[in-house]
Amino acid sequence: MKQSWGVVGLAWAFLCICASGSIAARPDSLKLNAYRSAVDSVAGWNEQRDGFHSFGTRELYELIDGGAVEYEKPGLVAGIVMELTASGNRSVKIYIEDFGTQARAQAMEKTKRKTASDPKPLPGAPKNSFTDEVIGGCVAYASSGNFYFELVLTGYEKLEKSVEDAGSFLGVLYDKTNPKPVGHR
Amino acid sequence: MKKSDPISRRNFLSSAATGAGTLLAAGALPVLATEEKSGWFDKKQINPNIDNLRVVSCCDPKMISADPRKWDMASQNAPVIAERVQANMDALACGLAQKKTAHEAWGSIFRKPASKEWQDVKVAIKLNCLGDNHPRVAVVNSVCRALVSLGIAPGNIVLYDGVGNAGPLYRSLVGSGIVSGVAVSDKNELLGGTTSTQVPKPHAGSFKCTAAIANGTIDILVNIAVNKGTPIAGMTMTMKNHAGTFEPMPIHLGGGLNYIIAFSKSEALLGGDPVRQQLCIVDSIWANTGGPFGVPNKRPCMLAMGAFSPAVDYVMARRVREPLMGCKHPPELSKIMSEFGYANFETLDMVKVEPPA
Repeated sequence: MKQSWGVVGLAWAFLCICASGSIAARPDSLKLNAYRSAVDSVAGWNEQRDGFHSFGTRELYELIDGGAVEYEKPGLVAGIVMELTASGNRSVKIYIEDFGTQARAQAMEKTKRKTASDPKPLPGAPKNSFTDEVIGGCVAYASSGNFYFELVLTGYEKLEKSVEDAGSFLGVLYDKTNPKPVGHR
Repeated sequence: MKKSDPISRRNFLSSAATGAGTLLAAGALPVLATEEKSGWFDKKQINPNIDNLRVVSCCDPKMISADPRKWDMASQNAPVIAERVQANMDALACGLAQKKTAHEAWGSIFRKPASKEWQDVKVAIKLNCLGDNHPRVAVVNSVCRALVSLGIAPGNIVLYDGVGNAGPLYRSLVGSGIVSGVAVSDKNELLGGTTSTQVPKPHAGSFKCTAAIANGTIDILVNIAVNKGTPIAGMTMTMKNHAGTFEPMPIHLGGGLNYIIAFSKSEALLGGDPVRQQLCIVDSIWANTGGPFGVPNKRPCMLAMGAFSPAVDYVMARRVREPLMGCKHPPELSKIMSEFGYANFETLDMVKVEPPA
């Protein structure tokens, strides 16, 4: 009898944990690696190897402390951050984050749009993207498929150039999410 | 198995107790305080010579020669005119203490235990080392110089951030921007690590805190924050800066603003005779509407200070972040004043200090 109740109890506990989302969705590691390779392919930029980190929600707290709450709430599964530098003292920090579903990734982008200081559309980019000016550059935000992207570009004299560079990076990230069909011209 | 076998009340209570014990051990439930120690009581004066609600500010675009293009320590300090910052900090001290000379003013703001000589007084300066926007070296140095001018040994001054880590950011600047001999701690290393201490309502419990502050080894605590946003009450300045003296995670485990208010009232920060935390500064030369991490997007060119942390933060939020930076704060912002027993503070404003000619 006791054993039966134990089994029921364990099953109930398991169901409760699943329902509360404590068992995290599995991160799409292959896709995250593919994104990293795509970013590395952008001409003129060099990845700073010590700037690369992969993270789940717990590790994100170590990276950005209280800022992590904003990403945990909509359902961050996992992500990577990488830093690249280019001539003219330019640098970019790119967060690529797997939210498990397209709806969650889009919700993250919308949350950022609401709290942005002065969101502006990113020329030529899909609608789920915008930029916000910072001193020395801009931050670009976008979602594509299950993924959310945040790019912090600094070291710029002119805002326009930082927006242009953000567009280049987002272009390769979008291409990786939505590969062109074979034979596409 | 008999279908009619009930779960006995004893078994149920036993299981429930075990479950609750496990959750407590895992830190999932708040620890119930057996004793509520507070450093705050209504109408307590931080400094008998300075009104708690007196907040002074100085706006001076001449403190900088340009905007940084990058946000590493060298880049965000290179355009700062240190002499101008020093002059403004001295003027702010005079404005806060209502004294004619900087020496008199700093001597009124900083107070030592009666049993100690100035040379034996120990000081900790909490800096905000999270993200990209950090207290400018010239601001930190002006406080160090003021303390040394009173007779405090530079080696008795420790710069720290228990979470963000001051060491990698500020250590190389001692002797070249910051008074020689000032100590810079790696996290809490030079301050005895951490120890558990009580914080009062509205989030009473026992939480980890920088040991030398919790146990009273530090005589004077200076709080130098920057002006940033956060999901908690929409801003992080001097009060939340002590998430880094106190363990920060309880904020995100349901404590929120209540935990920040609670540790802001703690014996660790507001206990001691004289009160340990004696000066709160917001370096708002560059500021973030969002945050708490990220690159600044505004340039208020402003420094502000006061003796009472909630007043400094409230006034900065209402008179700088909202009108000058376009920020919005939720109604719960008012709790940072009302929880300290203040009413009718909505019109509270800062005393503007003109930059010296």
